[in-house]
Amino acid sequence: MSNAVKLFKEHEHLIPKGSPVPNRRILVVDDEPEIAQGIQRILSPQQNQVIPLRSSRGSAKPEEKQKSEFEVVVVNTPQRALEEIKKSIESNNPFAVGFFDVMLGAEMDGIELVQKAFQIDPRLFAVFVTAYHDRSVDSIGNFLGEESREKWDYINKPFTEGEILQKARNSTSLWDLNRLKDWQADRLSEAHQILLSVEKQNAVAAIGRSVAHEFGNLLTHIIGHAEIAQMSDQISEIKNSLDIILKAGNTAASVLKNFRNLNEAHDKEADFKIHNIMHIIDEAIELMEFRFRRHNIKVKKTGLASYSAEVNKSSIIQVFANLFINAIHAMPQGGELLIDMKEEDSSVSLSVKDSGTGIDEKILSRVTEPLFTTKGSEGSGLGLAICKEIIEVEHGGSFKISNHPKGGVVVQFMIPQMKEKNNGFI
Amino acid sequence: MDLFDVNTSTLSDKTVLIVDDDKTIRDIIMQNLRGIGFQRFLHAGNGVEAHKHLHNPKNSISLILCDWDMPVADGLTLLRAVRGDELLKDIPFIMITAQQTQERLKISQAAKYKVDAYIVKPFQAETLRKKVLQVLFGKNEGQKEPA
Repeated sequence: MSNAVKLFKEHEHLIPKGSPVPNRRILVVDDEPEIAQGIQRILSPQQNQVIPLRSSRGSAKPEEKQKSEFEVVVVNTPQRALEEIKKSIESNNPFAVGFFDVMLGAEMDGIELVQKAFQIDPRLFAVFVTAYHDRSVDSIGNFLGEESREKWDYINKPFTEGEILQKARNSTSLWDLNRLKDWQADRLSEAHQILLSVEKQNAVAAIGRSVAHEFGNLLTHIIGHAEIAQMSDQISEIKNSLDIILKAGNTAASVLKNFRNLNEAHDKEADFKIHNIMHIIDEAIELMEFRFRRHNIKVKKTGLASYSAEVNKSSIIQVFANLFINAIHAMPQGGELLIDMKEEDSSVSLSVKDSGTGIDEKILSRVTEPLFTTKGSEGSGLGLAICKEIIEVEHGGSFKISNHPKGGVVVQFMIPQMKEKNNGFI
Repeated sequence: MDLFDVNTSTLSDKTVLIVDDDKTIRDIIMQNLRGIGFQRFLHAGNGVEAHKHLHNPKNSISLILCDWDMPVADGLTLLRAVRGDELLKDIPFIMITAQQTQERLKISQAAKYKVDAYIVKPFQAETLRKKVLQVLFGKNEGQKEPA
């Protein structure tokens, strides 16, 4: 058993069900039957013997019962080779490796054949079997191109048994490792999506807490004044109470509408529409209103009063909510939050600046890294990383965080006015 | 504890300090308490303003009603300052909080500093009045009540 096969046996629980790993299927393509069968004999002695022997001797010898390390399919023409590869893909039983003779004595040589084979099965690994007078290794590389560089190798004729076995073991192991890598990349991307959605929920929850507070106060207004009005016999006092009740009801309705929009938009992925950015900022401010007031933070807006751009509204609210939460943490004794909006080269340039103590220069470059946090167990370490991702990946903009020369942290980001096609979330 | 159980005529002499950053809520509390006989009120929008009232020798404050969430200095900060001050530490203190999951933590924090009662927003006049009377008269069935 090769090391790679052993490794896979030990880590079987990590390998997804139905995965073709470990794959020891090999295709041998050679127009000379002696060479093709020679390779087959080396790679799969039993397979090679059993077929002719079974009918004549009945049962195989005990040592022949041991399963061959490789399952080998031999073909003699490019056409048959392509048919086998197609069949292997259709039956979800792919080849890990193909041994391709370069001079096939057909309308198509081994290198052209491999190029076609890669189109059918991009995961296939090719080993060229070349003689010195065949095409040079460089010319194979040039023909197949840079993108296929990791997908082929060669062996010179004449070869020894050991060389063929070693090539077969190395290249099938490589195939397995690449599948495992693909599979892990998929898991990582799934995990990333889960983190993204959890962080969205965290932002919504933080906004929710602020909204709950606001509602506590507004309901106190409503209940308190309804009772005052009930007890009163003066029309002017009753009217005053009704005014306050109406105002509280309207404010609550508006906060609730914003909150509901946030949650509903949140369900629709990558919902890009033309929005007035200032309205989005105002909604985010209104949702966090209670926490700003509670922490004695004054919010000031400068620059453009209005600018329309094609954005995913819930994502942009999430960016502002995250930046506001950070700013509130940065200014525990209160302060000023400046939001500036400018137009720059068909983009909107936004900046959010707090009046806190700034970020230690030593860690500044790390604050947008995922899982980096200075807030201990209170921070998920994802807030700024997600903001950066929303702006740069989802909206094709740019995102920068720095210490302002006059103190405090300033986050500057640009969003293109129109979302470019092919630039969306995967 | 109900209105009929206590001698409410004494309430007109007592000064109530109402601390909330929301003026409408301060006014509602004031009007509710007026309804049972209170007449003297002091208002503060945060803990720092409240502390100034408490340290003014002209004010003899009998009860503090304080919101938890306020700018500058919050309810817990004021509660700790009051309980840590020899002259103020016995003033009954009622904490007003918004209803949400984190309130449990707040209540246990406040309990450490001996808060006398809690009122959860939104509240009704009846709840407010009952808690106030309980805090002022309920502890030892009228012992605290001057004749």
